[in-house]
Amino acid sequence: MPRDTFEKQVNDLKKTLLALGALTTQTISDGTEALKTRDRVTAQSLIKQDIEINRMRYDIEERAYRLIATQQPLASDLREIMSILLIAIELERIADHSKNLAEIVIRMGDEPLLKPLIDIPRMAQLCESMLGQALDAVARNDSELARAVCNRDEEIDQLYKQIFRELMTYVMEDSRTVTRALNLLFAAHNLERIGDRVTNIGERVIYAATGRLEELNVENHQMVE
Amino acid sequence: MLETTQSERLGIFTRALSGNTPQETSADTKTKMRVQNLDFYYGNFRAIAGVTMDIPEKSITAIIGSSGCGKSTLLRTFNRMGDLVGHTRVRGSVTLDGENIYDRNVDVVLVRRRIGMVFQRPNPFPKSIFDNVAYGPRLLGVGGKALEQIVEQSLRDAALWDEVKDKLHQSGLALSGGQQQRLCVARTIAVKPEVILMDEPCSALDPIATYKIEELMIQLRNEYTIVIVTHNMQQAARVSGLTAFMNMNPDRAGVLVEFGPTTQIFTNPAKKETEDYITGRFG
Repeated sequence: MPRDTFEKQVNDLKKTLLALGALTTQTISDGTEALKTRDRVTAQSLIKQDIEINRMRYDIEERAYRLIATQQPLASDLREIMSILLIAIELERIADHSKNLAEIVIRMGDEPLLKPLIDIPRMAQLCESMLGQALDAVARNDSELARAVCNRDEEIDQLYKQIFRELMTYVMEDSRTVTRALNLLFAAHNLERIGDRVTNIGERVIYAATGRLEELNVENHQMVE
Repeated sequence: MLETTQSERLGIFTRALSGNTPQETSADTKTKMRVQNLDFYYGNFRAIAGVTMDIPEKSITAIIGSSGCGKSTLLRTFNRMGDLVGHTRVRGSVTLDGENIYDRNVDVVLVRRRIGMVFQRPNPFPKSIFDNVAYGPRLLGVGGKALEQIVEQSLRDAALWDEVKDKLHQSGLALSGGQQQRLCVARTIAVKPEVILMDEPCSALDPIATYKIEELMIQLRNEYTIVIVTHNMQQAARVSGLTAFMNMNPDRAGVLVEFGPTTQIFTNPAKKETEDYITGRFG
């Protein structure tokens, strides 16, 4: 093949992206687990790990720029490299949302939870599973799978609304719960944003695979924002 | 802070991508040249087979493809340059404003006046800068003040005037390669053609001279219909509104594989053959 070196570089870049994806997926369950168990040690290590995740994102970014500058990729190559670049940014932001969960854990200290966590772990599980599928779609360049993943964002949005309503009833009954309610709402909000970012990843996969730029779940977005 | 909605942002992104080519061709653009079922033969060898394409007016159309696939041959059929080589034959038609340039009663000299050409290597006449540009208008009987005006305007339009205005009577061959090529563009536009054919106009130039020619093309596009053959795909992507990809069929005849908006050809071509060629996975 005339472009073996280039192809190897793109494949290596994609491997790094998938490694970043695996790390990022783990941060969602770590963050939620820390919240559930009020584990400040895990929360601290999650905050520390974010530095490594940011470094990986910049590494991907730099390598993508170099490929664009030196190889002038076109057509499917251009779409793939641009998608890798944009997905790396989404992953890094997802990890930031997980880090926000860890920061909530630290901020809450020993204060008891307002209520037992049921829907938040469910949201987190959904996020994790969606992100895992989205990364499969990235690896296989599978636009149909990407589309199916994006459709699941609706479930996350519904859970978020449910949590929102529930927490509001606590606040309305007893205004002294407001801080504790807001901590949980903030956690749920971060998970809701993760769902949106996974949708963005799905959009990038569809673009890389088909060349079509589509915005998915516009309605869900507007309802939540 | 600038606030935009999500769908506006997507629109900006989409436009930014398509707006990268400095030209959009819309459905109402007039067709300047129409090529229909064109075959071109050198003796018994068919070099071009069945090419059909519409070239829109006041736009830049690029032709890309690997060496020997017939790009330059096709370009030369657009102003009957092929006639100058012995034992050639054309089937099909090439029309300019609806008139077949291969009709018997067509004046080939007039065709070449209306459809000018710039070649791969700059080829100024061994004459002064002024005389190079004045050559065509003089043949058409222009002289005196009018001729001076045409020379100045042509050199200005070719973005060369400021560099040569103080040495118009020096030899055109003393200029740098990039300047010589712009001189050739000035010479071409001095006779006010409607179409300018460019056969690899930058292949002998350095990057800066290349960018100057590209800027020039983008400016000239407002007045002229330009068709460019280029090996430099980035160049085609930068300057053209439409791109044609040619390839050789098993008989080694050049065929048109795909012809469409440049943005589409370079980001999402419809044919695998095009994809393979522009991503360099070919041959």
